[in-house]
Amino acid sequence: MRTEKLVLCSILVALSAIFSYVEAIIPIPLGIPGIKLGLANVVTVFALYRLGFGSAVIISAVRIIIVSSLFGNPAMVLYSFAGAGLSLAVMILLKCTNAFSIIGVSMAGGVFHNAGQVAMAVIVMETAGLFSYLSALIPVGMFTGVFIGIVSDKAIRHIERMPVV
Amino acid sequence: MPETKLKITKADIILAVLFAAVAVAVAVWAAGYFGGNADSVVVTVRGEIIGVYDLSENREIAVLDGSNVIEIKNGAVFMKSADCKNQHCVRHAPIKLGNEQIVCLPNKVLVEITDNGESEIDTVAN
Repeated sequence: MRTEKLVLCSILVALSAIFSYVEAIIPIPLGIPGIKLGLANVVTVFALYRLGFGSAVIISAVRIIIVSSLFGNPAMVLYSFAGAGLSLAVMILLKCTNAFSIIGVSMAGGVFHNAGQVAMAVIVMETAGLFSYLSALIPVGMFTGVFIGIVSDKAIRHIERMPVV
Repeated sequence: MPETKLKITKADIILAVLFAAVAVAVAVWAAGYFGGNADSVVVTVRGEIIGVYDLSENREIAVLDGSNVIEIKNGAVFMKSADCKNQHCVRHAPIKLGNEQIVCLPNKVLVEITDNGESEIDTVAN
């Protein structure tokens, strides 16, 4: 059982790393820096609901380390951790209340992912003006979060029918 | 196997409304924050102010041994070049209003427009 879980976590890390890579080579030209769909978060949300908090945290952390050292910008790893960390913390919190659907949890995850990165930028650059990006990044986070929530829900339902986990 | 439909809860909706309200509040704050008088360009590298320049004086400023090149031209400022991977700062539209800024996160370069009323005095370090 332990081995099964380890193998599954490894596969999910590999899958989410590929998602990150695919997104990195297809930029979204919206004029706002750092916007992306966050496909790798499908894996995070899936893990959160199917494997538990611990696995979700480990999978995200390992993915960030792998992606930022292989294809990412090492200078930006701080921002990746700030975004993913805050996002996961909020998602775990909201999921525990049992008041939110997977879409609500994922939406909050999307918004707080962006908020975490902006907050880190404000701290590092020592300028509050960067908070202005949130007027665009909150709606973007809501949209991508809801999308990721729907996709994750579909994935969870689909995989429920298969004899894994 | 019975297909249970995905249900949006009341809490989801409340949270969405809350997020939208915060986004609007930030937009309102930003509308007041940016603008107003502007006569100087402040360049900060890794938390240290390396120079204050006159916004009305055309010039080029290279920082970090040329990693980032900032250009002041006709009362507007833009990042002419940067050696970072994402190039967000280079693509950023020129800035000219008070408190507007361009940042290069990987190189920690911050270009800000301010109104300090001492634009005649150029301090050039580096």
